[in-house]
Amino acid sequence: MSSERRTVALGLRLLLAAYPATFRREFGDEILAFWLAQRSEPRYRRPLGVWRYWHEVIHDALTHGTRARWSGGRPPSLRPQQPATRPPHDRGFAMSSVLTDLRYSIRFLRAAPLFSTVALLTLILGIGTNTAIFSIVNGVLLRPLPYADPTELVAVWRSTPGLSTVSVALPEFQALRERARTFDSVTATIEGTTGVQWPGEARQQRIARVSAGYFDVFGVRPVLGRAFSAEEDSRGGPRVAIISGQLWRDRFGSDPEVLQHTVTIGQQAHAIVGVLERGPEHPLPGTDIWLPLQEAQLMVDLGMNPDTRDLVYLTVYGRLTGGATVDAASAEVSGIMEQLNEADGREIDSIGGWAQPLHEATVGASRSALLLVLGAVGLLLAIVCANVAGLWLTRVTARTREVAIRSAIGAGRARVLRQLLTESLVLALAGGAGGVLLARGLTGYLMALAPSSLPRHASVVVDGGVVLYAGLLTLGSGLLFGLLPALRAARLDPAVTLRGAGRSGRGSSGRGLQRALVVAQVAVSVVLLSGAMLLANSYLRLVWVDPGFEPDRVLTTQLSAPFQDADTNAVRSFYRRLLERVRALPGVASASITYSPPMAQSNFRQTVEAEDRAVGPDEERPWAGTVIIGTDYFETVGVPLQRGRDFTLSDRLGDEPVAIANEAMAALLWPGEDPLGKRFRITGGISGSADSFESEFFPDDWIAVVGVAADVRRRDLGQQAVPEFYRPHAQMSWPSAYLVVKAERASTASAAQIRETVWQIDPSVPVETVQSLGGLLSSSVAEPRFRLVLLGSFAAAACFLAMLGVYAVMTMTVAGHTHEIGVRMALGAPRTLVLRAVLLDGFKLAAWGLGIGLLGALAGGRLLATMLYSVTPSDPATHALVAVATLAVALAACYVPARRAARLDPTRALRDD
Amino acid sequence: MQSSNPPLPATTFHILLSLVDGPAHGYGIKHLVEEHTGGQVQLAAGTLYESMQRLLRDGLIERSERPAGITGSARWRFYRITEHGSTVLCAELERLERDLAYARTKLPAAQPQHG
Repeated sequence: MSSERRTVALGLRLLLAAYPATFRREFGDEILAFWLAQRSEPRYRRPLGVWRYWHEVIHDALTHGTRARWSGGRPPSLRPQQPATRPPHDRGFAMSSVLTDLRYSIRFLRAAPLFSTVALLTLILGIGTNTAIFSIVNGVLLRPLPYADPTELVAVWRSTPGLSTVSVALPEFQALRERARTFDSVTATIEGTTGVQWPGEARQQRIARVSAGYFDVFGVRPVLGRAFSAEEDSRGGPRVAIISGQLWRDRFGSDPEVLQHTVTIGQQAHAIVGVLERGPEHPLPGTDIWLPLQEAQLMVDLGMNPDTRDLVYLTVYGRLTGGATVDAASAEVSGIMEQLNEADGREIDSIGGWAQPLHEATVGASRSALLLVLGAVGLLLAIVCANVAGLWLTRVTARTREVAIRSAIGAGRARVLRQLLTESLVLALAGGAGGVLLARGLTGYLMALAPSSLPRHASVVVDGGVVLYAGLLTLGSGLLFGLLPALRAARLDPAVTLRGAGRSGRGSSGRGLQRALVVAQVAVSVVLLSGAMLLANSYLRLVWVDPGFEPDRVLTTQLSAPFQDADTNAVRSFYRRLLERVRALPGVASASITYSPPMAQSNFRQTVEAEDRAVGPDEERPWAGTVIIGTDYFETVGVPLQRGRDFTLSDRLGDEPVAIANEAMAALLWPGEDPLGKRFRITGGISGSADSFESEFFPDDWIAVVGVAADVRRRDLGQQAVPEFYRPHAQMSWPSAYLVVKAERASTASAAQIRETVWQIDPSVPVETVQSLGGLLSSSVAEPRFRLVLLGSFAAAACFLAMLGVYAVMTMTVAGHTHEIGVRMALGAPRTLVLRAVLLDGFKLAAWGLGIGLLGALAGGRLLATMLYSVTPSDPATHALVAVATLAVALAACYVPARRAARLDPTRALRDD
Repeated sequence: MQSSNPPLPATTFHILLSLVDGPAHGYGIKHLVEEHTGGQVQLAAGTLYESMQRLLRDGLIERSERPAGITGSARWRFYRITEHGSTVLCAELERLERDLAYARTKLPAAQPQHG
């Protein structure tokens, strides 16, 4: 059976669901066979025939299905319901009656422009926001990764107690490559940006160093040239590179002879051996250049020993062999780690390992936030439907007389029901079309706003699947808001309605339904509102946190000094000359360098040991981070130096190593003591241990504490400062560093000036983006801000709609009670009493909604728990604020109808009645 | 009962008529009806099976064995007209004839048109 036929059969089966189960059991299979056989009739064959076919089949199923349901599964009466014959040229009863319904619906919608516009805009809002958020969820969470057989791909991590996703050391990867049986192929990668020298300019380009298995793991082949050979991937192998299709076009004008050229990376020419089009987004989306890993030649160049398990920096990916499960792979990785532990003489379970499905590893933490937002827009859509249903009910109630006449002259219930449903579907379709347009704009806007930590940016598009989703939402919401009012109308007894002379608003059950809808709207909007308020509360606390430094007027840019053959003299000389010139620039108050400015770059982390506090072999050693800084750093970045001295030019390589501890480290290593003059030692770490560095970067010696600096929030504002120590760049001359420049006044130091100065010293050093420290600080809260903006605007929209609902229902209540109010006032009830009665009535609705909503908010608040900073999900102040705000706004919404009631002229009210 | 029967709905009438020559399945009935009305009556699945459900309940048609020599999907079930069905159909024909004869006396010019 062809896949098309299967799809058709599936669609037809869905349509069969329109019939009641008893009917389906009796005739379902036959009808299905009938429909399938019908497909091959000539009239359904031409291009338009497909449309005609589905139109007729759907119409067939819906009319007869609903009719069969209506009659409770019993065969309908013998009264002929449709003419069985048709004039030869008519396109058929089915079509013409649908067209009639459509025409009638459009006429009806145009006859009430205010109603139609409000309902339409509401629907566009609901469907548009849902579609936009779904397109993000679809792109990030639902779409498979863009590789062949993506479910076979895993990321491999090392795990140590307390840390589950740690990079892998080279010997571990090598063992994995040789011993693992559950993998078809594995690859290790290092990603980063590196300076590339193009004719006339130097640029930072995204570079991935990959081992030879990379191309097998991700199932990619260069469109030009070839992948790296095993020989090229060995240590000391030739300098070769594969470039992206983008670079090939931009830099080489798609030259087919590009394989004859070289690309200069870090001053060294690399022969281009291939061009990779649509390269993998792992390890780094938008990679420009791939280099062979060459068994971590990079680390050797930096003067380190990569052949130790103490230095972990590799991201490892694997493709499972057919049939191997992720669990089996995890078990094997963990087993290999144990073998290595044993061989090293470590505790057998000291270092573990596991495999994680690549999709999960990529999507990571964004999943819960995205699903939360999807849930929020879902709630918004529910309010939209309730709102439009309320409006619809008003219209239908106002038309009871018309409906009654139509039923009285013989339109069956099904016919009336169908007409009303067609109207709601027409409105929903218009809303859906508008919603898709809104979603297209909104998706672009949201992606521009989205934090860069949101993975898979590129796969977010409004595509067919998204439009299909919007279509389903449209149908669903059309049925949802149309069905209740329509069912009610179709059930009306024509005789009673006509006798009641169609006075508006007398049908009390309609208003009961309407009031229930409003309570539901208020409840749902309270849930959204308290979620948004919790996020707002948390966000404000976050941005009001003292980061521990002064970001005003500080610019920063990342640089890589020319570095070859582990010669750190060149590095020191580059930065010394650079700082001299930058400090001399007009408008510059002070300047320094650091490997890791706050909010920009993570640290080296190591375990440390205080000299006067020996740690037993089994004892856990404390962790501390290293921050490399130049002189004047504390002044430039505005970190107060609490005690001791700053680094000076006299702290040199070869002298006693010195450090400035932060308060957290001082408290950790020397609680209650004066840390000045104390010494400590690096004993091992994630980014390296003393054993793995043969260079000067991490000395074996005792390091003396010469000062204590205030704590700084380093990675994000929500995290308490961790123990850290600063080391002078003169004693730890890492080639890549951030220049930090403090301007005297705002905008006195410019990015252009800084770029110029760097290029005066060395034009081959790329200066990519100059950022302000304030900007970095702001982007560090981009994620909570994104969540807040999303949830906040949805909550605001929800609240607005709910209040519109309150307003509408109160207006109708007043209109429906004109007579009663008139009588009361004629009997002497004061106007204030009337005002108060109406306000109280509306207040009751809001209070019910609020009560239910708060229960929902308390139950749902736990979903937010991980996203809140120093606020609990059940924060009483936040919920109290939501309660007060909701009741206040509800009273405001009731005020206009209440005043109208109070101003009624009793004589007129009674006369009109 | 025959005489007090209201006029048969046209769909019912055509379905019964199509089964006079022997058993047929639903899709077959659709084709037969289309054929003998010259394409004027096209039955949708819903209309057809709705009427069939009624006809089965009233005992005008019944399920039948698959006629010998016919192959095809086992999904198709065959129906045949019952004796009661034939009686109803005959009664309907008589009624139609009476009505037709009466109409002719009123409108002598009206001739059966080809259509």
